[in-house]
Parts: sequence; C-alpha cells; structure tokens
Amino acid sequence: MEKLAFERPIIQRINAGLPSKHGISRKLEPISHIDEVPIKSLMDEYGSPLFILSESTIRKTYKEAYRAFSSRYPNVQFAWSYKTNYLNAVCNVFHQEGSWAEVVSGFEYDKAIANGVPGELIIFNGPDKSREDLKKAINNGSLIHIDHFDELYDIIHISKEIKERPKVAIRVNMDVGVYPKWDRFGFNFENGEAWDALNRIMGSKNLDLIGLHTHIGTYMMTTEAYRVAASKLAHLAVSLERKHGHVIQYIDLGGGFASKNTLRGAYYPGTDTAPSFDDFAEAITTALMNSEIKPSHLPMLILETGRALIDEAGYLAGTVLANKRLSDGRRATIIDAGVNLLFTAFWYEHEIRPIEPISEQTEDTIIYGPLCMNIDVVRSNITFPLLKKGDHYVIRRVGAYNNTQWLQFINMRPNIVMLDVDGKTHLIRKAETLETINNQEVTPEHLRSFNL
Amino acid sequence: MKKLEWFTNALFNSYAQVFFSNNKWFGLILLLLTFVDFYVGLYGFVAVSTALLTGYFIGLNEYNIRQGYYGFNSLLVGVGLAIHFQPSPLLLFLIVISGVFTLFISLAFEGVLGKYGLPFLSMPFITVFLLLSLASRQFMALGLSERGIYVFNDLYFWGGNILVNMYEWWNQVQFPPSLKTYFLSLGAIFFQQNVFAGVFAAIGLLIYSRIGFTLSLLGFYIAYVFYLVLGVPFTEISYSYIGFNFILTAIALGGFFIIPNKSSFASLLVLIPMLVVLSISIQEIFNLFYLPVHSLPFNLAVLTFLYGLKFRVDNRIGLSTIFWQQNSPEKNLYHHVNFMERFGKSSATPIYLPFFGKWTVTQGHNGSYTHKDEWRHAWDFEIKDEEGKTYKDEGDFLSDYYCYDKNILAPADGTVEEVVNEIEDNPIGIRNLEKNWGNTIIIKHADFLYSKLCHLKKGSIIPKRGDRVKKGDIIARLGNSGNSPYPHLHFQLQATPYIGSKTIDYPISDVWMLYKGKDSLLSVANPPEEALVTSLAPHTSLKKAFSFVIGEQLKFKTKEGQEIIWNVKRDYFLNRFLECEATGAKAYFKLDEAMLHFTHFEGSRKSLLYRFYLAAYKISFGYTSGLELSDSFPINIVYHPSKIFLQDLIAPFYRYLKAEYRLRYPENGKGLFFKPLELKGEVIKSSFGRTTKTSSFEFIIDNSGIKRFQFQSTHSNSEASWIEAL
Repeated sequence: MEKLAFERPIIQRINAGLPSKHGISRKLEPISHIDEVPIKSLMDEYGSPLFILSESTIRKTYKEAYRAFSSRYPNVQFAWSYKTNYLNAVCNVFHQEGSWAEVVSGFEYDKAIANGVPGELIIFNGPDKSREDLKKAINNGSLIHIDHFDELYDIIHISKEIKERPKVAIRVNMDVGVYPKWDRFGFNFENGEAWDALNRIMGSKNLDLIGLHTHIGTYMMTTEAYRVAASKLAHLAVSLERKHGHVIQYIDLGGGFASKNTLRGAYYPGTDTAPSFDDFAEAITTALMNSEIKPSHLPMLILETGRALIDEAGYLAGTVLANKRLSDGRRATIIDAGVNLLFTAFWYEHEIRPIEPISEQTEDTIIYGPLCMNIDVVRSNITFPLLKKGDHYVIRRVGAYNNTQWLQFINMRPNIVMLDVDGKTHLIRKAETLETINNQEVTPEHLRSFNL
Repeated sequence: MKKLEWFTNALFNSYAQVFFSNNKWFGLILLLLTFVDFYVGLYGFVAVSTALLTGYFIGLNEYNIRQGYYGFNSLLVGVGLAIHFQPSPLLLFLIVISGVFTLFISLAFEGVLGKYGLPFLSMPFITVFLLLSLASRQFMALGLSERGIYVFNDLYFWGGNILVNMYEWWNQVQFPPSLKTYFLSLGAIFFQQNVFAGVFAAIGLLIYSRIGFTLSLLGFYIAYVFYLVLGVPFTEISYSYIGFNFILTAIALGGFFIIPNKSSFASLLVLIPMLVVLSISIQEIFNLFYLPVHSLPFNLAVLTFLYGLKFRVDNRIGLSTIFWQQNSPEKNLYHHVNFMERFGKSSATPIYLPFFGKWTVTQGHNGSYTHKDEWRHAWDFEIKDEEGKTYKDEGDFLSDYYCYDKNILAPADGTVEEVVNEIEDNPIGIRNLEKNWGNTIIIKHADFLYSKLCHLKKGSIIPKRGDRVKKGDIIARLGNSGNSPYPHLHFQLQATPYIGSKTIDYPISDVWMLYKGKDSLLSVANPPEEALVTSLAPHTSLKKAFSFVIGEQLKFKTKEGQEIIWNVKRDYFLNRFLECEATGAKAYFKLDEAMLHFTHFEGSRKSLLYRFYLAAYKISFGYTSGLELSDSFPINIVYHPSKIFLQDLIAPFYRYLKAEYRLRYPENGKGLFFKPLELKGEVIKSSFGRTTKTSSFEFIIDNSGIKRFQFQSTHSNSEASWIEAL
C-alpha cells in the first residue's frame, strides 16, 4: 500500500445537509497528465515552472472553429494573430492548418516572413507601421489594414515611388452596443470617417482597396455585437459597390472571441458563460447572408481569432515554494510562477489544480507568485487544497498572451515544451540563462570593474 | 468564289449522304462513280444542283443544305431517271422538275417524321420515283434507254479502247460469286450494275468509315446465308436492286443511328433476316404493278425499328440511339463512349450539393438502413469531426450535433412544390415513424425532376409553396424531424412531386469528394457512403477567365506578333462555341457555375484554338491546393485519322488507344490572387496502357483573364507555341 501523503491539519466548520447558496464544497480534481504525458516527468526533465502546449488541442480547437464557420459560409479564412502567441512552433501549427498570418508590427511581420508565410498571406494591422515596414509589405503584396489617415497618406506617398500597387483595407470602428466602445483603432463608422477614408482610397489611382476590417473588442461575451458589426460592414460593402462600383474581396471581422477562462469578478465560470464558436459563427454568417450583398458576390470572411484558439492548449506547471498565514488569518501559498510569467492573472481567475492526489480538505487561500513585489498575486481568493512545499500545481488555459507578454523580471523565463499529437515532447523555447540577459548588455569600459 | 463555297460543300455531301456520310472525299468518289455512265452522272448532277439551288433560293436552313440533307434524294431520282430513259432535252426538263418536286417531298417527310425524331432517309426518292415510274408509262415522247444493253458501245464512245478493256478486266476478275454480288449491290445504289462501280464505292466506304464498311459486309452476308437457308436462289439479288437494302440497313442500324457495339452488331442477326422476308414480300406486291422495290424495305425497316426503340423505358439491351449525329459511326462511337464517361447518364439540369462546408455521406444509394427498394437512390449527409464523430460532448442534445441547425440551400433553380414545416423535432434517439419524412421541402427543377430534402427543423423552411428559388438560396435549417434518431439531411431526386415518391438515379454536379483517401473533383458524381463531399467556391479570376459570354471576343497575339481572335457564339441548338476568326475552327463548350468543359472540336487541328480546346478541356473555377483534374478525350479528336485506322475496325468491341487529360492547380494558390495563377497540364496519348506521346500546356491567369497560354509537344522538337492576351 502506498504511503498516504501528509497534509497539514486544519480546523473547518462542517457544512452538512443541503448545499448552501454557495454551492457544494468542490474538490479540485488533480490534473496529473496532459495528453497522457505525466506532468511530473515533464518538470523533472525541463524544470519548474514549465509552460506546456498541447499540439493536438490546438489542432482540435482550430478545426472546431473552422468547421463552425465553414459549415455556415462558403468562403472562410482564418489568420493567426501573432501577438497572441508568436512562438514559431505555435504559429506553424496554425499555418499547417491553413491559417494566414495577422501581424501588428514590423517585428511580427518579419517573424511571419521568417516562418515562411508568403507575403500575400500576411495581414498587417495595427497603428504602428513605419515607412520601411509599409514599403516591405507593399512589395510583398501583403494586405495592409490602414489604421489612421497619417498611415493612408504615407501609403499614397509610397505608392507613387514603387511599382507594386498597395493592397489595402481599412479598419473600421463602430458602435456595436458594448461598453467600452473601441474607437481608438481605425476609422469611425458613425461619424463618417470611414467614408472619408474610403473616398480617398477610391480617389487615389494607385491603391487597390480589397477588404474591410473591424475588430470590435476583446473577450467579447456577447455574439450580438458581432452580428451588428457584420451587418454594418456588409452595409458599407454594398454602399461602396453602389457608390464607386467597387467590389471588395473580403470582410475581416477581427477576433475578440472569449476563451473559457473566467474573468475577474465574474459570477459564473467562463466555461459556462463564454459563447461557443458555433454561437459566434451563427451571428456573423447570418448577418452576412441576410445582408444586401448578392449571393454571387459574397466576400471571403476572414477571422483573426487568437485567444479562443490557443488559450485552452496552454498549461503552466510549477512547484509550491512555501505556505504562510496572513495577519487576517487567511492562508497564503507561494508558488514559483507569478505575474512575470502569467500576465493574464491580472484579468483572469485562472483555474489552478494540484498534480498529485490530495484529500477533499480545502482552505480559503491566497496564491502569490515568487516575485518580491506586492502586485504578484496569482489568485486573490480561492478555495484551495492543502498543498505543501514541494507539491506541484498546474494552471490551465494560459496559451494566449502569456508567452508574448511575459516579463523577464527578477527571474528568467522558463522552458516551453510542446506535446505533439503522438505524445512526444519537444522543447520549443529554451529557458533563459544569465548569458541570454548579459549578452544583450554592453558595460562601458570604466564600469567594468570595481573594488568593494 | 467564296459565295459558291456552300454549293460545293452541299454537292459533295449530297452524294455522300446516300451512305449517311458528310465526308467530302467520299462524296467526290461517289460523284465520279455516277459518271461511269456519263448521262447518268450528268443528269444526277443536274437533279442535285436544281434541288440545292431551289433550297437556297427559297431560304431553307443553310446548315441542312450544306449537309446535303436536301440533295441526296433528288440525286437518286435524277440518276434513276437517267438510267431508264434516253438522254434528251425533254428528259433534262423532266429531271429539273423532279429535282424540285423531290425537294418539296423531302421537306414534307422531314416535317412529319421529324416530329417523331426520325430521319426521312430515302423515302422522298422512293415516293417520287414510284410516281414517275407509273406516270412515265404515258410519256410517249421519252424513249427507253438502251444503254444498259449496249454497254460497250457507250464505253467505247466515251473512253475508247482503254475504258472498254478496264471495264472488261474488272468484270473478268474471279471474285467469289457472293462477293461479286456484294459489289454489284453497292454499285446498284447508284443504279450502276457493274463490279467496277461497286469496288469503287466499297473503297469510298472504307475511307469514309471502317465500321460502316465492316457493317456493310456483315449485313450483306447475313442476308446471303439466310437466302441460302430459305432456298431462294441468290441470283434473284443480282438481277434486282435489292441487295443494297441489307447493306444500308446494316450501316444504319448497326452503327449510324445506333452507337456501334456488340449489341448493335448482334441485333443485325435478327433484323436482316426480317428484312429479307420484308423485301421478298414487297417485291411480290410490286411485281404486280411492274414497279421496282428499290430501297423501300430499307426505309421501312429502319424507320420502324428506330421508332420502336423509342418506347423503351431503359437501355438494358445496350442499343443507344444517337442524340448528336456526327455523320460517322466512328465519331459517334468515340464521342458517345467519351460522353458517357464524362457526364454520366444525364445531367441536363445540374443539381448541386445543398449545403456549405464538408459533409460526409452516412448513407448512400442502396444504403444499409433505409435507402432500399423504391427509395434506394438517396443520400444522408452529416458533418463529422476529425475523430469521425458527428457530435461534440456526449451527443445527448440536438445542439451537440455539428449538422444540426445548419443552413440548407436550394440544390438548383426551381419552384417549391411542397412544404411540410410543422413536425416537432425529435429528441436524440427517438424516431417519428408516423410522419417519417419529417419537415420536408420538394422543389421542381425541370419536368420529371424534383428534389426532396427531409428531416428539417420545425418552422425553419423559408419559401412557401409556389415560390421560385435560386440555386444556393438558403431555404431551411437542418433539424431532426421524422424518422431521424439524430440530425441528418436526407436528400433525394424523384420524378414526381409527392412526399414518398420513389427515387430516381440522378447524379450531383461539380462535387469535390474525398473517398478512401483519394480526393477528386467530379463533374457528376454519385457519392458513396463514407465519402466526404463539398462544393468548391469559385475563384473569381478563374471564373472570369473561363466564363465565356456569348458575343465576347478573346484577343491574343502570338510569338510572331500575329493577332488571333476568337468569338464566343452559339448555334441553332444553343450549343456554345468559340470560333476562330481566321480559320473558322470551332470549339464547343459547356459551362456552369463551377466548371468549364469543352465537348467538341471542328476545324483545322493546326489552329491554336485546337490546342486551346485540348488544354482547357476541363477547368474547375474552384480548387483546393494542388488539386489535379483528369479526363479523357474521344480519340478521334486527338489522334490523326491515319493512326486510328486499325482501332476503328475493332472499336465497337475493344478500344486500346486512349487520350487522357490532366490539369494541376498550384500548391500554394490560397491567397486573394494578386499574383498570376499558373495552371499546368498534359495531354497524354497511350496505346495498350503505354504512354506514346505527351503534350504539355500552361495557362497563366490574372485578374484580367487569360494572360498567357502555352502548348508544347514534348516528343517533337518544335518550339512551344504560345499566345498572350492583347
């Protein structure tokens, strides 16, 4: 018989009888394996903390999303949002599945090119495009989504100098009935700026207007907003055809689909409240089909979904560093991954589970990261089992934004591994070392030495 | 001169049409043959010319005139009269009159028989000739011809000793008696009772058609054997104009009006003996009036048989009647075989898949669950995920099923005939056997062609009964009503507008299909169980490049700077074609929403249009990355006639020559298509499965259409020919 694990003694009021309005006490089931690979063995080999990505989950999620749209609309294209996770391995899984690339900076643009994405399959978004970036994108035939007039002027200017005709779309922002309104990107629909931009593009003989783009917000929990957005863009497309006789080739509805993470302060868990791909697809495609666009002219529908496609596939596993009791009597557990690695902890109540088998006993706990900073809180209030130093945990749904927004702060960034569809492990980003950091630094000669 | 071009065309065809041909060389041979007897030749020529000029003058359809349809009966009348009477101005006048007369009788027969889809054959000739035979007994001024009796006098008169000797030599050649009778019978078609004319005609027939020649021998010898069996002296045939009836009937029914194959050849074994009986009995009656039987038995037999075949409900005996006559048994055969291969039994009204995205056939025709007996020609469709499941989670709820609540589209243009929209959707696992079809819509697409879509969601059907729907319109959402334990689409085609009608076997058009690990794009398909199917969304630029609009002009320039112009036109039968302005070559095509097929080519094979026809034989406007299309050509269009002489002889039974078409789409053609798109392909000739010659071609397409087209035979050293858009 296996030796029972030691748990610290606690005192707890008995909650017998019917569950209270707070629900029945819930045992956090341990997660010991990902894709049938023991997490413990991964940490033994690659260290703690460790990011683990499941390739099969990525592919499965992508296929589910693609199926939701393609079974409702004849011409659907996804473009992988690089900023969500631009690890090359991750990007290439999406490219293998058929995704184009969606980038928002010269750096991301170069990364996509380096990954081998053909120029004409890169969508260049965002407010920050230098003239050099624009020239490169124009020469490669990439799709440039214009964000503001200054950029439009730049492009018109460049178009006079080079042979290739810029392929452009405008980003449109609009009131879709959600708060806060996202009006800082693109041209506004309601106040007529979008039309100003369109008229100017149509007036310029050198630009090819090929699409319309909007991105109505992030972590959208309502599909209605997408319906409104799709209708408004469709209306714009039809009006454009009427006014200028110009047929656009695609409508890009951006991303912003919620993943199944729970937002801070949400009453119900995200798994219950986030709309499914089918819900989003239904709203968007119905709006496009019911619009005045002729069935023979239905434009390609581009989606730049990032978060909802990758969040589920990412795990962050690590080790408990210590336990302590706070002045108000609450328990605090300190783990080896904090907001430096888990930037999304600022918005989400991440689901965190033990790896090893545990008892049903739980305690109100606050989970801190390892940083020597007050803000480093992973979960501010969680009913958590009694893990002790050296026990292991895994945090679910960390695939989106963490590998791009993480900080090299106080600690170095750890290994990232990917489990392929056959369960084989691949190290896809090596842990940083002192050399990684120091290599970038240049110490002036007179500061090289000191005498303490 | 150009103005008279129609006349020479029509003239030669009028001679060739006696053997159903429109081969001008064969026509020329037969024309010369009639001049073996100068006056016969001359008067025959006069009669044809009269009929043709009259037809042209009164404004008949020029195509029909050119084909010689209105000339050959007058020709026979002219030749027949010239044989019987002494040449004289009076006879000339009579021949002119009867030429015109025969033309109008031809038109009358065309009108009557045409309604039944039957040819008028030589009925006009027989009618006029019988009338004249009866009437001419009163024409005292016409002297009966004696030339048939004093042949040598005539021959000497026209050609001196040489001609006499040649004639003698031919008649002295020791043929077996039956073969001699065969030649005599062939010559007798033009009233020429000599071996020389018969051999001449036989050579012409061989040049015109190998199958026709084989059939002529077959028909003749079946009759010959039957005569022997019946004990009728065969000399009877030699001295009456009867033998050619068997020859003409064999050609007509064995290979001309019916596709030549095993069945058509076998059918002659029954038909010819019947014809023998018919001929003998008609002769008995006509003898009473001292009238010749001529080709009347042939006419009666062919018309009766062709008419009778029309009452069949299926083609179980394999006798396929011609629907597009190309005036040659070989061409008819090759095109028929090719057409059946490419377009299946029929898809005059294309029916498309009624949904977006990739669906799996979960029950095909003759399925294991419910597609049985009268309802066997139906499909069930569902959406499967990469694990082969049709639902997510546990599949306990309708909304777990991928196909549930998906849009259902109109499979083709049509009128809504029937709508059932108020049957409750079943929970998973429950069937409604009382109203087993569930919510259903039936759409009429053409006469006797209705599509039925079942198990739809309650209240989701949009159009009402009597509404017009267009292909691709959203008409409903998929539900789970009727005999449906879990959501699936039941799709069938039927000939009557009722719920519960029996199904018909009718294919779906333009289907991309993944079956047993192999993907293919099919013009018409009957997807089997487990096949993954979808319709490919047309690529705007490809569609623009290859969707030829009538009246449009395609302009190119060649390497040499020469300008090439192709016009898009259509003919009287609404067939669309490209016509080369310089050479007059025509390439016929068939175009729908998603594909271009070239179907036929006429004209010079040196023209670039011919190469274009070969290269653009099958083009799909939608494609998946690296998609490869294949198809096959009728071999007579690809091979030189001299190369298929042997193949022609055995073609009704076995075809060892093949000509295949391949087209490849680019691997990475996924973008919005700003860069020119390259399509590459080959035309592959093979014999007994071994490749003998490959030609390769390439299209470069951009947003403005076809930018460049290049064609090269790899086995020859000649430089590739190419054209570029102007």
